[in-house]
Amino acid sequence: MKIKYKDIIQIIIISLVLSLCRYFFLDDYPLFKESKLKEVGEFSSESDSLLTFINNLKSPTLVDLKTAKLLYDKNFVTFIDARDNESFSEQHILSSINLPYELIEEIVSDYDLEYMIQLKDDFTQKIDINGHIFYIGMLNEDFYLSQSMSKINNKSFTNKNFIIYCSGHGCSLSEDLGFYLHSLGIKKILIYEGGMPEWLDNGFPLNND
Amino acid sequence: MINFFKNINFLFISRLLLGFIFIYASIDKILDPLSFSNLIDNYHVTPVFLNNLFALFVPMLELVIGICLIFNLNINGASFISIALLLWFLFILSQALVRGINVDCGCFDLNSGSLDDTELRKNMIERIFEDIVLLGISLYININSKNN
Repeated sequence: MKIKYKDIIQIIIISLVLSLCRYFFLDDYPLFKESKLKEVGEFSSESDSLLTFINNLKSPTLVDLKTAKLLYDKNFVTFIDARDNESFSEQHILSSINLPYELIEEIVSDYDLEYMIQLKDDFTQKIDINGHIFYIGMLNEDFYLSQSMSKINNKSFTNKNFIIYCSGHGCSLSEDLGFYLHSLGIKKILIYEGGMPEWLDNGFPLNND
Repeated sequence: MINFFKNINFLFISRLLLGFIFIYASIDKILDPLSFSNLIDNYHVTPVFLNNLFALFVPMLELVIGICLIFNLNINGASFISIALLLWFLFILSQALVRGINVDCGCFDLNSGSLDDTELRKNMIERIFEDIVLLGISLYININSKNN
C-alpha cells in the first residue's frame, strides 16, 4: 500500500476548511455537543428515595435496567413504548402503553393536546391506535396516560409518571418522544435506554400478543 | 487475468464508482448534520461531545475524497483515506452488531423511516458486506494508482 502524506494532509485541510464554511451556515449547531439526558446514579430499593427522585424530575432523565425494574415492581411509573404499533404488537413490556413517536405529532394535532395541556383544565381523551386503546387526560393540572378510565379517575400516582423505552441502545425514539412530551410541558419523564432487548434478555415480564 | 485487473480502464471505472458512492453518501449528511450527529450518538462508540464535530467533518471528507477519486486528484491520499474511513465504518457497524445495538446505519440516507429491529439488523449486515467490497476497491485503487 502506498501512502503519500502530502496528499492526505491536503485533503484533510480542504475538508476542514469546507466543514468550517458549512458550520457558518448552520443555526443552532454547537461544535461541542452536550448530552441532553441527565445520567442517574444507583438507587437503593427504598421507596422514599425513588419517590423523591420522581417528584424532583425536571427534564427527561436516563435510567438503567435496575432502576427501571425497581420502578416497574413498585408500580411508580407507566411504561410507554415509543416504537411503531407493529413492533409493539409483537412484543412489549407488560402493561406498557404504545405511543409511537412516528404518530405523536398527528395525535397531538388531532386531539389539540398542546392547547389542552397548556389550558390545564381537566379532560380525558380516548386514543385508539390500530385497536390499542388508552386514555390521555389532565386532572388537577397533571398529565395522565392510562389503559383504563378508572385509573385516571382514581388519580393514580403511576399514571402521571412515565418511563419511555424503544428498541435499545441504537434506538433514539424514546429520547425523541421524551423531549417532545417535555416540550408540551410534561415533566415526569424517564428514558430507559436498554429498552426491549435488555428487558427481554433478563427475562422480565412481557406481553406477547 | 492479472493484466485485466491492471488495465487502466478497470482502474478508471473503480475510481468513478467509489467516487460517486462517496459523494452520494455525503450529500444527506452535509445537508442535515444534526440528524447525522444523533445517529452517531446511537452507535455509542465516540464521546457525545465530539459527535457534532464528526458529523460536520466526516461528510465533507467523503465529498472531497469522492471528487478526488473522480477527477484523479491526490489519488494516493484519497484512496488511503477511503481505506481508513471504510475500516472505521466496518469497525463501528460490527461492534454495534455484536453488542446487539440495532442502529439506523446512516450510511447513505439519514431516514430509514420506521424499520423494525430485524430490518435494521439486516440493513447493517448488508452495509458491512458493501463496506468490505468498497474496501477491496479502495485497496485496488491505492495499489495500482500512479503517483501524480
